[in-house]
Amino acid sequence: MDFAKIITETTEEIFNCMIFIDIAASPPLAAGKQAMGCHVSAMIGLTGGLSAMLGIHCPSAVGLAVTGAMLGMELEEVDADVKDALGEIANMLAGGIKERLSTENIALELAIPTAVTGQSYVISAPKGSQRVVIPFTISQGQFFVEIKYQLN
Amino acid sequence: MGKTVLIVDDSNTMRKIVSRALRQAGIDFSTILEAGDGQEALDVLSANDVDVILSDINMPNMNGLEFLKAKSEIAAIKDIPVVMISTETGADIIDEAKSYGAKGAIKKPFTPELINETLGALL
Amino acid sequence: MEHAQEIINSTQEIFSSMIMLDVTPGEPFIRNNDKLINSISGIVGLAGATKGMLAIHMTNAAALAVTTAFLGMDVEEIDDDVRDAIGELANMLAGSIKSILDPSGSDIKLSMPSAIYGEDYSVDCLAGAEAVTVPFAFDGLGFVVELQLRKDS
Repeated sequence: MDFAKIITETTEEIFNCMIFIDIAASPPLAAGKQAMGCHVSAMIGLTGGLSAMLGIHCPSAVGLAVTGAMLGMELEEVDADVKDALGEIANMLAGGIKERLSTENIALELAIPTAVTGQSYVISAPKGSQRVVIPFTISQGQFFVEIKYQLN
Repeated sequence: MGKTVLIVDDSNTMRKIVSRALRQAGIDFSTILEAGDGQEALDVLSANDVDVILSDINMPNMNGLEFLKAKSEIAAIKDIPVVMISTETGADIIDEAKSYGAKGAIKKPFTPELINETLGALL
Repeated sequence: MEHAQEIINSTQEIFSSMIMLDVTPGEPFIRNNDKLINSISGIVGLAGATKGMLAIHMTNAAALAVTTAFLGMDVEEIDDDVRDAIGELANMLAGSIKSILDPSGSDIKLSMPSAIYGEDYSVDCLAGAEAVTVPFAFDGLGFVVELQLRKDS
């Protein structure tokens, strides 16, 4: 259950296949550090062999660039397309995690994505849950893919 | 002459993503039609000539498997090939889709090359 | 609106038994993705054959009052205790609603709760789920409980 590796590989696969933007993964953030400066997030719950929340968190400019590349169109503001596209990425990330963990005999089911947008918000997980956050860099800035989980 | 494709997905954004991938796949589609669920897809099929269908599996109202079943019972459209697109594509669901006549399955994330390969064989 | 009564029953039961607060329900409505100002939201994903989300959205003032009653200790700012309490509240509400909607326990599974808080944010569920929200009032404060469900027939 090497989430840093799973997240990095799954994210790279999605960007290589469907978004066509070069991304550079950084090492996981140190424990206790959060994704900062993000104004649009998509999250999806996973449950079964473990209970988890997977999220992708972006500054607006990064969310617009990623969605624009994914949809093949120019976008100017964080609208329903941006939320849906990030939701779709969260869904694919969760699908990739589900597939990889099934080979370790950990069965998972997915919820549906939720988008959070705003000028000022923080997303926290229960005390005692584990958290892995991987920063990725594109030319417009950084985004973060995060998993918070507890073993059931 | 260009072909007509029908994209069935409840997410408007996902339909745009699939449209973009179709353009990048280099297949000459003259018309890209869209439907938000299986029932809407049946309505579109009753009014248009469609060469191939790309359908999501998990959808409200009428899901992809129900759509396949309903379509297989309508003589005029039962032979139009359908390729399923889904994130959670377990082998059992794919087998079920194929038993209802699906010609293939594409798992997200997908590349334009995979779309080209899968659809090219059906057109 | 479908499921409003289940939300009311579950919320009243949990608030009266666990938090010792009597909460009064208002008219169910569709919340869309209205902005939340100086608020905290507890959300839990629902997975399985029926998918969705259960959320409780509270102003900071309501969250402090609820957490104070829930934990039996004074809390004065949105800290770890408040975030955990609101996440746990979402978890209990989701568990209770699940037990009504899915008595056999096979159709809906709960994922881990999260708390979202801030000065200005909005939360919206994607993927075309059916949504219903019920407002509740207590001691001049208020909160809403939102259920989004999507059954992939």
